[in-house]
Amino acid sequence: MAKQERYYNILKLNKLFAISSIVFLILLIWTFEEDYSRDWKEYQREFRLLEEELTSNLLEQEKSRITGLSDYKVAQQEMAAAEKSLDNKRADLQILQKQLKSLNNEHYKVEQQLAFDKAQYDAAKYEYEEAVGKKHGDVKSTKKRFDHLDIEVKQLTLKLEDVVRRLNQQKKTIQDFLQEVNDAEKSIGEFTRKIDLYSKKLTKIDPGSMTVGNRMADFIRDLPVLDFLNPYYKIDQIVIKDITEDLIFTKVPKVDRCTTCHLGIAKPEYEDASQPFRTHPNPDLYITNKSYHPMESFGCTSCHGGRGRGTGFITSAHTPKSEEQELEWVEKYQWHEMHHWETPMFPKQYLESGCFKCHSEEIFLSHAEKLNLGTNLIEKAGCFGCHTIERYKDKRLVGPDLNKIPSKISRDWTYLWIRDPKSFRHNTWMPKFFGLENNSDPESQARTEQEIHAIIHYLYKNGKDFPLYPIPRLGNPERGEELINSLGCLGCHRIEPEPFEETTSLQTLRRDHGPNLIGLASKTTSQWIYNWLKQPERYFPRTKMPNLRLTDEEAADITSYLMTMSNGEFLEHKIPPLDEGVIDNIVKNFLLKMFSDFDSREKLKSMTLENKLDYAGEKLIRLYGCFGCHNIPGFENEKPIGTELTEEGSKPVEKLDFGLLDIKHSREVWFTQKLKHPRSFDRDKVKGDYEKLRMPDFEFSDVEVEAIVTALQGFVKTSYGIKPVKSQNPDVHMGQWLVREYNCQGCHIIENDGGAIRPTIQDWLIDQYAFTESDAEGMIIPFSPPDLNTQGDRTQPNWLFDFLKNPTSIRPNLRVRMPTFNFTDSDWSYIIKYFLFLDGEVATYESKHSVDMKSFQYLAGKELSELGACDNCHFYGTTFPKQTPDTWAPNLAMTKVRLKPEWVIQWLKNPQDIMNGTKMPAPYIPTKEDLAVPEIRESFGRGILNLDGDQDAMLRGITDFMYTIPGKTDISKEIKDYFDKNGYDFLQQEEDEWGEWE
Amino acid sequence: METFKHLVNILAHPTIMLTVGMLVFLFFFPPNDWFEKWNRRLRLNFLWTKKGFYFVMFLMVVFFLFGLTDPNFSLIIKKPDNVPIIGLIFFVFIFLWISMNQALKNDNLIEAGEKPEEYNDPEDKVLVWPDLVYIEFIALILCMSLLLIWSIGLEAPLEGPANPAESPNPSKAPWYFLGLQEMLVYFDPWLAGVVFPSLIILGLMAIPYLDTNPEGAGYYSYKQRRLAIPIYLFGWMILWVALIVIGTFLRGPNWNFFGPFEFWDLHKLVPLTNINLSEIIYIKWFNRGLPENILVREIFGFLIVFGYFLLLPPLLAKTAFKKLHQNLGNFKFGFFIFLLLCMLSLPIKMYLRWLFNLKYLIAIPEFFFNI
Repeated sequence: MAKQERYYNILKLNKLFAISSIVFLILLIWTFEEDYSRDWKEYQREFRLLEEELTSNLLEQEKSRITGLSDYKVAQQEMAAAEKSLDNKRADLQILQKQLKSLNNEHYKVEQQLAFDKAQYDAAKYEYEEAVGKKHGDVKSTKKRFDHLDIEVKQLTLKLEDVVRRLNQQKKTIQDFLQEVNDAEKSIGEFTRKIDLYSKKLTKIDPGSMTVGNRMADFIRDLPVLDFLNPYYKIDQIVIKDITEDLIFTKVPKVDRCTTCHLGIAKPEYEDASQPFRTHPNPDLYITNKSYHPMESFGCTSCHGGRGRGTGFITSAHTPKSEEQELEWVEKYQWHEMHHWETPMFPKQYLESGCFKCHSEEIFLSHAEKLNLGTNLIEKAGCFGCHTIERYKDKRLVGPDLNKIPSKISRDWTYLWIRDPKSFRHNTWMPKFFGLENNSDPESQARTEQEIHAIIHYLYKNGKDFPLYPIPRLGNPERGEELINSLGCLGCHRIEPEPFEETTSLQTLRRDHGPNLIGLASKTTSQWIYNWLKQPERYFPRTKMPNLRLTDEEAADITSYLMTMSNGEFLEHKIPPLDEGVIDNIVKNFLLKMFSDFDSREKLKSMTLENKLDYAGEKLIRLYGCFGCHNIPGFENEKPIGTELTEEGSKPVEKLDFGLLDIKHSREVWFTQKLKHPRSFDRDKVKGDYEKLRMPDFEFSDVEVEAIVTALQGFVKTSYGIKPVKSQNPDVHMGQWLVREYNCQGCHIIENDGGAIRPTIQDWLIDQYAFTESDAEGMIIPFSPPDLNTQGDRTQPNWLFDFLKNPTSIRPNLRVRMPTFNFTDSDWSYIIKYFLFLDGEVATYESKHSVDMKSFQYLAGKELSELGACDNCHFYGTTFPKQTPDTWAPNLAMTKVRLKPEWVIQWLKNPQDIMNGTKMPAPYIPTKEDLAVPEIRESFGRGILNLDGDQDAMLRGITDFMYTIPGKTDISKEIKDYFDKNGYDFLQQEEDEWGEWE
Repeated sequence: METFKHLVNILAHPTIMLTVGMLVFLFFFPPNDWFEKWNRRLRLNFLWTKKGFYFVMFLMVVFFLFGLTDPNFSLIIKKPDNVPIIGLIFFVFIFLWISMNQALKNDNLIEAGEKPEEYNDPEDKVLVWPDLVYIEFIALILCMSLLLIWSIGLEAPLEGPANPAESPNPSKAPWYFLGLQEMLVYFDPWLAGVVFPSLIILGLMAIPYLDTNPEGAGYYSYKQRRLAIPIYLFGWMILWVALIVIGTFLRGPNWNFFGPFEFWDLHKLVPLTNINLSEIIYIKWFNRGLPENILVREIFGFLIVFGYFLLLPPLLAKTAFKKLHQNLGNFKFGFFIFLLLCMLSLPIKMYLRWLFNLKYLIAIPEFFFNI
């Protein structure tokens, strides 16, 4: 054969082929390896070891626990004895078991035969019927076959019954043989239940505890490729159908795979484990099936944000809480942002933002302290005045009414105040507009100085008249101070002349509800204060300040006290004179926005200084958006000047202007920067005078900024369509809002929160009546405005409505006064519905509590009230209590109109349960045992004896009795007359006269 | 180092890059004797020797490695989408080098009166079985290996869910269409998106009918194809590959130009005010308003365009392309020169834009007709 024609060296090609094949093989293996080795598997392996360790520890503990139990030893001995006695009967048992086996065989055989025959029988039946009915086939032969099978089946059925009977009997006999052993086993099982559980678990996770076969299976099930069948290490996911992920063109159910690595999240044993295995810090609120947010229906990313489908640290969009953590993560996990995921996980400090995805309509959200603080601060600072926020649509403006300003304050004061509000009142909420980083250069300063003149000119020129009534008499400042401290003013106001350190909380904000009452003598006139105190709504129709129904004398006293405080330094600041040149520039600047340069100059020429100030004032008020917080004449229907914030938390980061600042590009960083340094995004930018950023500086603290950012981040588009219970009822919602807006919690405790006034009561008792600190502490509750928890259960809605509209005296010796609020009837009914809602009730018609005055129950009640000497402290209509005013308690004749009988019974059982710290003692109710003692028995009357120690009946009796006490229900006048005559000197501490209470 | 980066950023600006590129191109691929003289004098053919190959490859590798140290450039070149373009840069050079290297070798042989290397068969002969199939099989395995490495090494560049309300900025066409997208900057969509792409395909199809030069068939040669190669490479290298590279590496947010080492600032502003020819003539030069009549208004544009396409061909047929015209005849030459002028209209329009801020030569927005 001729030599083959070749042009290539086949050996060389072979080598090349070999090398590339090997490379390819290696790459193929690498591909499998890449696909197989996942980060989450590492975590699962680690967790398995942890679980193994924990379970075997628990197993050991349990073992040593029960070996120490004497009952367990007894059970073990019983077991040994039972087995021993069984040993003697072992031979018999074996025979019985052999018989059972053959019986089983027989049973099987007969049953099988019957099944076959029955099938034949059914077929024969069908053929026979067909032959008769439809003439298909031979009637005779089919009938013969059918009859034959019929008999066969019947016989077999009987035979089967017999076999079954014998079989059961045999089983029972064997059971009897084993009875003793089984019982012993059962009683041991009681002890070893947990051990069995742990051991069973260990055989699943610990290769050491597995059988050889299982150990091999355990190894094989997780091998590459084979692991598609039933691997141990697998992705764990929760699919939530109700909550969908918006992919623009479609919505897909949320899928959270977080539990693939966060394996201990729902297991209480892993509280101290390291991440990602640690137990959720609040499983009773978020994880378990009994919680409000079970993991199975809410998943994780619904609240936390992040990418639920991600199974890696980075792909699940974890977000670091700080720069340090970011660096740590970068080093540890090569962390980087998931660039295209719009909802990354909330950093830890802003976690509560997530609540707003569903709870956005709620006014107060328990367990979300930071979020609540954030929304409170937004309301307090009045952000919604300039930035539309759907949640706060149509809410009242946060600043005072400026319609009648000329009657209240001087131009000079106003000038200095606008320029730097904090120089007058160190903790005011009025923000600073001037002297900030983008308008404090000399040129801007010269301009803004004149701007303030123009603004003031507008305000005073358009200010309306406000007739001031004269103060009828000279006030007494000392009495005024006492009144301020005792009437409840300090629930909303402070009097703090010097700046102080304080961490902002809901409680501190309550006391910031009204202004800090300092330096008023430098601000306004005594006449104005007097008029304001007497009737705040006359000056400011939508004021939050309620009417305290002050007498002329009281108002004059308070006025004279407030006028003792002045801020002399403030008014000494120099006010730059009006400079028409600068004003011209300002006016021209605004004119140029609408007119050509020529027209502007012409217009300017034709204006007098007055005209210019008018024009500039109006434009400037519109520019700075003063009307966002204040009622200003001429700006009643103005649109807010700021960006809408309703969905600010969903705003893409690219739409936020970071200016030239070198900071991290993320929403939270931008918000923080904006709140801390509102004008900083103008830094190094070239901008015209009126193109600059205008947001004023509120000088928020870090705590406040973080809280506001939390709330802002929560204002998102996402709506899961799940509405929490409270938001569903608009009336309740309104009620809750009013309670918040009018600061009811400044005095009262509602929803277990509030009562900001309480510490001041203590201070007052110490200062005014020489209480010791501990004594005063004990008197805080008796002398504070009432705790309104259980208010819905407590009072009759009709009475409450009347009371709120026109408050009357309830606790006679209380000095704190419930003010009259300028509310409509429907406002009050919202509030009442809210109270009822809190206690799970609804406003319905309730029939009058009827009392059978002939019953023993009633009689017993009457007797008990006499025994308990209720009239020592309580008024019975206009009948005064026997004891001195310091122990006085509400008028019992009012009970029938005021309280709900069911609540009275609960109250009488144990007052401390309902109102911790109340002075009311639980009445003595004799028990059956008490009644058995003859000496004690003698002291009781017919009613009590007849009830024979029935505690509930006796409590009902007291209640019944209370509902029949006659007399006047409103005794406010009598009480007032008494104290007008005798004063409150009873409070004066001399000796330890409270001893009898303890 | 910063000065170097700054310099590169400046040089990368397309006005400079393309101008320099087009000038240098003519020296590397001389279409006539004058350029060839300079080509020899500057020893530019060094590039097509082995040393030249290593030199250029070295330069490119060093440039990209250096680029990796720059935070901005590394972001661009490490983006998984852009990896093919880096491959493209290298491969375009490699294949160009192979053919030019061979062409020059052959040219030397031809000059010495010998036959080109390709005639030396059967040294270059391949048997389908077993050699070709075997080699192809090995190539297949190596390609698969490359794809595996690629897919393991670079994660798929997934983006957020498609959202019609939000377009990405910059929104770029697939890499192979970036040349077209670049053309859209200078031409109306109907031209850049419809007419030119059709002409490109038509032109490529027409090559065998227009290029009737029998020399160089079956072997590489530059000298014998001194017109065909520069024209083709100009269209391919400058007007297609270079535009893809610009589109990939140098076009950032808002379709602004960014140097390779420049940060892609979303807020960068560049003046982009353009003006139509009619406005230049009537308003700037004649100091009068635009005429009402559309035809009168756009008459100068029409004249230029018609002049370009109707007067230039006969002129060129008499002068520069005299020989070619004789060889091809009127019809073929007409078609050839039309395609050539269309191709050249792109750089011409670019320069008009850069130099005079010219928007359109003919602007009739009333009929959506702009050139």
